[in-house]
Amino acid sequence: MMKKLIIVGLVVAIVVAIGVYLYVFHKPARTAASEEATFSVTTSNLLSEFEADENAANAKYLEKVIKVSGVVSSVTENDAAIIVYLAEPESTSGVSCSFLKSDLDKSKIAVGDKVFIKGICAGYLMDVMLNRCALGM
Amino acid sequence: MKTLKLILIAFLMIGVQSLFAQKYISKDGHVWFNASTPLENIEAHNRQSASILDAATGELVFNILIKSFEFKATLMQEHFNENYMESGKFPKATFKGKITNLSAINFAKNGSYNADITGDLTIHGVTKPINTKGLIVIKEGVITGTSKFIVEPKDYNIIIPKLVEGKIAKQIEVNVDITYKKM
Repeated sequence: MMKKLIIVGLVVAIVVAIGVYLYVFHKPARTAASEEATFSVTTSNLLSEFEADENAANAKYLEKVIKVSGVVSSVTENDAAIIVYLAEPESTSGVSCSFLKSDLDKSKIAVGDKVFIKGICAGYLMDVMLNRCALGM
Repeated sequence: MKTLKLILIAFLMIGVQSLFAQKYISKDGHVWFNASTPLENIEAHNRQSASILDAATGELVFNILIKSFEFKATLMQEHFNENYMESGKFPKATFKGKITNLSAINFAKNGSYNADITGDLTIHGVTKPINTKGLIVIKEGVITGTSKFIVEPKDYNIIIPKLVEGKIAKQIEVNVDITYKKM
């Protein structure tokens, strides 16, 4: 009886150990789809916050899930991602939304569409960059 | 007569400006690095680097976001951002420099040109001078640039804990591949 208990205990311990190992080393990437947005903003407002005070905007938005609304001005694709660009009229800047290829059905999005996109904010270069995005309603 | 002169001057000025305003821009440059060792395969790609190249002066600026580097393993990406690069505190890496052998490059003519590049590289809040070589290929007005250089984490105050020291290369190879559009 005691022996049986020890064996069962060992099996459980091994299964848990494998589970932890798999979780830690192969845990799925964080994406915006599975999280609630912390902030909801328009393309213009988000841009003007970064343009006015980049450090303050970084402190507020970096690593946070942001839901941004805007008009699609281009959809491009590279080796790893699909980039949906929300341009700000009469500006060279915009919000650049990067989707993992598996996270966006390109037939669901077209230039000129008014969209809501959730993404994890990576910072600001010429554009505000959102990564691991998800298309919202 | 006076107005004619003014118009002529205006035209001349526009002409001169377009001659010298040879600025090129890219927002989707590919920057990747390899820090692999026999113990661990470490590679990350960033396909959103922003750069401006001024063909008239040779000035070259690169900006990339550390958080936009994608690793195969999520855990590696987290350690890279949180422990090593502290990307919350230092979200960007930048390069500001110049092509020093500008006279050897004819931006108006198809061809491959070797470029000598020198400037300041800022990573993790630390700025160091850097010299590297690049290859500029001009084909029908499209400019592509590639370069490869070595970066040592310790030069940029990036501390790798003893425990994983053997897994991460001490000399990290950085690659750049970028295509410019006229601004």
